[in-house]
Amino acid sequence: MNSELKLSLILLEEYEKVNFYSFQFENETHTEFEKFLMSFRESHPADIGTIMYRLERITEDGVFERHYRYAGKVKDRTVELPSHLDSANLRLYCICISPKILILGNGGLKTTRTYNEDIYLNKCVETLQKIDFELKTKEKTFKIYIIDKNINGDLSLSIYDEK
Amino acid sequence: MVIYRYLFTTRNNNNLMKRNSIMEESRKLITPEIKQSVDFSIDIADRIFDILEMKGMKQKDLAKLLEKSEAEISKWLKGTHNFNIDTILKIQAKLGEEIIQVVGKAKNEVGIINWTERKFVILPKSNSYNSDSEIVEYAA
Repeated sequence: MNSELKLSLILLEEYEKVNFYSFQFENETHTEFEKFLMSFRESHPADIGTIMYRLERITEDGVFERHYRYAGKVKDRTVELPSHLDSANLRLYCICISPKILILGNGGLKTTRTYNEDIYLNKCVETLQKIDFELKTKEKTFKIYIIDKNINGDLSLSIYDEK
Repeated sequence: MVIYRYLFTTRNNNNLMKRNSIMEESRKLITPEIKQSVDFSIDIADRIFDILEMKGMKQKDLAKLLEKSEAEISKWLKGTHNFNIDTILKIQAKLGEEIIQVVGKAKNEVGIINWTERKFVILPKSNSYNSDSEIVEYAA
């Protein structure tokens, strides 16, 4: 049985070259990226510091390939922000809409060879893939439209969670 | 060859734009060591990109020269790879261009950015500089 999950895209921060968005599920008080930061900043400060600094570099350079690696499938825009430190395995999953728009999702510690082998990380990526699919559908039907670094229109989405 | 960044980038131009308090709080975890490590790694990758572009080469050409897979070269150029000296020397040799240059001790000069005049100058080392100036690492 599939259950419907309602969520909204939220503009978190804006910069001259780049805007960062995240998404917030209905009846929750924080976006997924905020939850990610709150979950790991005490236990993994160096990794969070690295991710935050990588985001800072992205605001200067734009959301270009050299700053992320692809995480999902070829057809989606799901990417992974790598942790610079080899000894750490904290991963943040995102959707790269354009060189000017990055949607920050959730993530966690990667302890398996691939994210697919980890139930939680796999779910993080799957959620982003579903959101990406919904966004593309809404773009095609002009319910949302992207101008420069802004996503405009109806930013509420529904995805289906397979139980 | 020169490796330095943000000479006259958008410094503090973003002050009035939207910020998130949890992200701001998390930014306090960025240490000078993290900055140095990430910047240096990205700068090396950028330099390799620039050489490839200058020579009209693609990542796959470099992969062929180094007898590596294109995927591995791609990983190196994402600025996330911990390069070791041997790898850098190999890339330098194959590309015929310097990637990193060590600053000589004999060179008694520093790079100074003057933010008011928006100028970058190289001056002899001194104990005093203008208050609106910033000393930056400089490699000639």
